[in-house]
Amino acid sequence: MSVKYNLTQRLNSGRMPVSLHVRSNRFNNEKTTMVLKQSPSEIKPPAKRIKKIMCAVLLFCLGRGFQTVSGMDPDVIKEIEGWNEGFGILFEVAPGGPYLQLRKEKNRIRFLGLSKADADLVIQFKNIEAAFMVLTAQMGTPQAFAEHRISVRGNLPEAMRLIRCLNYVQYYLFPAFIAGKVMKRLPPIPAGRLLSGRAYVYLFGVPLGL
Amino acid sequence: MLPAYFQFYNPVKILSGKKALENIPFELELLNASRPMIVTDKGVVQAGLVDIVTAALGGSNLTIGAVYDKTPPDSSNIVIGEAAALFRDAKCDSLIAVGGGSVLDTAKGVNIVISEDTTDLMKFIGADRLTKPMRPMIAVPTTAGTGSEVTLVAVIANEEKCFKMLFTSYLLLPRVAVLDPRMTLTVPPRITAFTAMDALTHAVEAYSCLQKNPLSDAYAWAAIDLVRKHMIMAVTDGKNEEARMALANAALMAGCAFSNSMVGLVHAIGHAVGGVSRVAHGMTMAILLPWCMEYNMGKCAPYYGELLLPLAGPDEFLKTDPEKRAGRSVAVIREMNSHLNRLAGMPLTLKDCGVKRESLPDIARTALGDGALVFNPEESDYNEILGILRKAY
Repeated sequence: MSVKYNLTQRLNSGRMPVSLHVRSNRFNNEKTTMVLKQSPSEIKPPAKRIKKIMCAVLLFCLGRGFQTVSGMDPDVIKEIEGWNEGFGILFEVAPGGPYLQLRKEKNRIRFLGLSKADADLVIQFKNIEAAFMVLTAQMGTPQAFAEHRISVRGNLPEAMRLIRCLNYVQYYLFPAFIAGKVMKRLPPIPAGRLLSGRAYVYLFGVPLGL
Repeated sequence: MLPAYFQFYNPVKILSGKKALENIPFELELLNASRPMIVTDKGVVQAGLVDIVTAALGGSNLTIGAVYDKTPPDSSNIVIGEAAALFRDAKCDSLIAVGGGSVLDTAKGVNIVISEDTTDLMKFIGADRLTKPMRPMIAVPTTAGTGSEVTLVAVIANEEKCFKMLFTSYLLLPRVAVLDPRMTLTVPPRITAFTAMDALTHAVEAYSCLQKNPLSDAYAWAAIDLVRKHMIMAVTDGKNEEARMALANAALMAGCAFSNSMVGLVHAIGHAVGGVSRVAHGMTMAILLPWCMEYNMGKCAPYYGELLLPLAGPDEFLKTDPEKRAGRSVAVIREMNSHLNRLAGMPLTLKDCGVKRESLPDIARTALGDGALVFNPEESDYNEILGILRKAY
């Protein structure tokens, strides 16, 4: 890999930001631009904005999906009965978001948006790549926990309840051949309920928040 | 096969063997501490073990600032509040925990309260919530089972809200673990038996759970090998220092293994049995282990098959057909339990431990909320856990 420093004498003085071009990667031809601030030896890693936007979209789908499934699937309804009214859940991608805010209201999970708020249970992805892998069903939640990619703030039995609910929500959101790869076992949802529920989640739940 | 990704962390300095306790002052000096508080319980004091530790610190510049000996079998936030107040009043700067799992958890809890300068442990429940460096802590285990001296976990009951608070953080790891033969020589045969089976369970689960990795496998393997070779001797001849030290090292290695690759179904159900029916942890581990191995067989058979070598030795391993090795491993563990039952009266069923049949549904419900369930390779629901409990009853 060859690296070309695009520096001028003035930039070398350290008063202006400079750019660093990394080219000719053997494995792909992507050209990455990183901004050097102040000192030429200081490198600011890429912001990964696209992945953050994708994660925000996926968190939105998860939140809306959870909201719909929590009012529809009897097993999930039974699970969330265990949470007190007003129980708050926050998904957080460290550092600095995106976030997903959920709360139990009137025996159902409500999607409250993608902003940060205090919550009873906080599920924190330690970095954007961990969140991306879990949200795109490349990795299951248990495996992510096992690999220390997720940290939990709050009572562990509540986190376990959430994981069980997420298994159902993900099965409604993803087809069996994808869900089966990341779950230890697919939830026992009858085929008719799964098909109609999935159609409802795709057509009304995620787009309209019903 | 290598996992796609794993983490392994074990920074605990281990002092193991004859006169190991005498090195504590030097270690504390390295850690810039000179006024430790000893955390222990009444049983340990009555057995004369605190006196042995105090004598071992003789001739040094250390001052033992205080001794907290009121640790109950299950540590709680009230106990930790009391011990932390004593730590502050006595102007201590470090902790020496002398005891079993509850004592070590208490010392870890005191360390959270002191180092995070808080009165509310609830703020730190969960994984990786601690942020401040802890005070130097030296762990001196007096049983060979929990492995708490090298684990990042503390379990502390919340007496007001009636649930067990679980804390996991690398900051909770003690700085030094001291295994001295004098500390376990007086453990009765029955307790020796079920604590050894606790260590064995840690190792078997670490070897088969979701985050198994080559490093934790090595620790787990060595731990099982030591248990097989020395457990019966330690039970029948408690004064045998070699056997005692072997078990202490096995428990420590199993602790290193499961602190990194985690435990699974046996511990999820075992914690629930302990919480609902107040049964000693190691006893439930020994009873539940073979039943849970059978339940996990679909996903873990290759791992259980490999474990026949350390569990039963090379002769047994070689004469068993490869496809029968996993089942044979389960049978070997059942044989160990039966042997310990004859030698030390270790119970073989949950009923013998005093668990009531009507509490099984409660236990199954509680187990569903246990974090260890996440790390088990096989999924399990309420009815399946209840099924395991009925078999073990």
